[in-house]
Amino acid sequence: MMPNFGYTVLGFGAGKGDVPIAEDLTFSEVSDIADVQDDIFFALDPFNENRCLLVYRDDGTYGNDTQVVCGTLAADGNSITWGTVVEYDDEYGDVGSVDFDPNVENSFCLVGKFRVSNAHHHGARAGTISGTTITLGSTVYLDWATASDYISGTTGKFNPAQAGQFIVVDGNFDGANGGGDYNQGEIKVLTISGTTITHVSSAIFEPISTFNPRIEWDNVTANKGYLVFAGGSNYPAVRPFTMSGNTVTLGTKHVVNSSTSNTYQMGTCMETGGRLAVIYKTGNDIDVVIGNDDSTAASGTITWGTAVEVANYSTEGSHLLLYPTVCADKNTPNKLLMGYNIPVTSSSSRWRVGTVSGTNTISIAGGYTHILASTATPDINKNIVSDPHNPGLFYTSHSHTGDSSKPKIVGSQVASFEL
Amino acid sequence: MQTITRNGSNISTYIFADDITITATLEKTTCPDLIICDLNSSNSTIHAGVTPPADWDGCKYFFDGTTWTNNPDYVPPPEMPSEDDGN
Repeated sequence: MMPNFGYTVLGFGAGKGDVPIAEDLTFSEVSDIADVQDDIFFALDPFNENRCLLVYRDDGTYGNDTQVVCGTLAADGNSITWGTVVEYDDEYGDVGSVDFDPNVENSFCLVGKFRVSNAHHHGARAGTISGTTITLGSTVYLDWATASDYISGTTGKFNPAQAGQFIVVDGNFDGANGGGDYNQGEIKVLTISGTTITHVSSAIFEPISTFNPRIEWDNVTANKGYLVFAGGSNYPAVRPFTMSGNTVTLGTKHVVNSSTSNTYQMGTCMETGGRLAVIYKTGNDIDVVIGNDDSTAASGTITWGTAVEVANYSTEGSHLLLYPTVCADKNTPNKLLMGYNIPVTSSSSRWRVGTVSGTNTISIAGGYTHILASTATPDINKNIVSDPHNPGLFYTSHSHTGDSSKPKIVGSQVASFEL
Repeated sequence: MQTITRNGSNISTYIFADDITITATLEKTTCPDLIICDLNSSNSTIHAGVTPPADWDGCKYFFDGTTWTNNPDYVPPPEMPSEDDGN
């Protein structure tokens, strides 16, 4: 029987005894598709409740190809009916992200690293959906660097202020096996009509090796966004930008932490009130910091609060902490869900909730929970999605070995986030 | 060259050319194209006229105002991220 701490306990940390979480989080787990290896990303349709997209790389059964599939979540959240899986690249590649256009129903875009005759490229494909049937357009390659450069991350999001405008960010790490000409962070502006992509313009936001770029849109100021990345010396950094039509204006780079040089894993989100959360590794630990930018211009200054520890290497059993992520509830003001991964069987995906207050303050509820019921080793989660139709409901996508390499789509209801 | 070191540890966190204007206030440190949010006039020191090691990287060396020494806890960036590190 679960111990009673005065609130529901669902997770227990390996080797630490009972670890209550001070938020009553419940979850359900869905595992219907097989042969998923890694790089699994999930998106929810803003127009059609319970419709979702999943992109992933398969486990090699079909050659490590990348796939996309549309599904419908059951009303109780305990199953997903999937449509036909569509292969969108037939060489070993990496998924970057998938996003629905919040202004155009049934329109989406996926980006990732593609290979052509074993050369690295990054690119995008636009798609439309009818029911759960996917129609994809042609691959548009977005290379700026030479094809032999190593691309260390590609992701993108639709601009909520301009229908059909999709912004891609990518980091280019010219590693030991690279040999190309450029080490830089790049931003690309695409316009999408149906399944047709037009690559309109590009800009460099970091002129040196760039890891793990992310993009987040301001919830208050239209056409303003933030690029979050590991730039020089791998310090986590933020660069605001604005869009005027298809023209990018970049603001000044802010480094949020320069205490260690190994912080290239990070995540970001914008909470409903317009405050930016950046979660990042600092040494072996994970911190989160909140920034507030009242300016409508790209050149506005972000006011940063005090960073708060999300996970501590020692108190987590001296296990490696991986892939910190953070997501704001689209429906509940000031509320965040934060996750990270840890190589502990049956407790490898750990979650904490936070509340943003004042200008740039965050408080984190005590304790964590893990949200996978099954034994899964390892579980790699790289994105959290807030359900636009249900307050307090988040979905995450995990890969793991065993069980026919089925992905784990986990819906987590934070009851205290419900309005 | 100039370097900014963190007080206490003397870890060298940034280097800049001599002609770059660096301004440290109680809140932050500002350069023409960069705002350093976690370093300020109370927790860091700006040293001018320094010659950093050729393989300098952020947090790789200590600098006490005179001598550069290796930081044994420095973790270099990955030479080549795995296929999964990038996203």
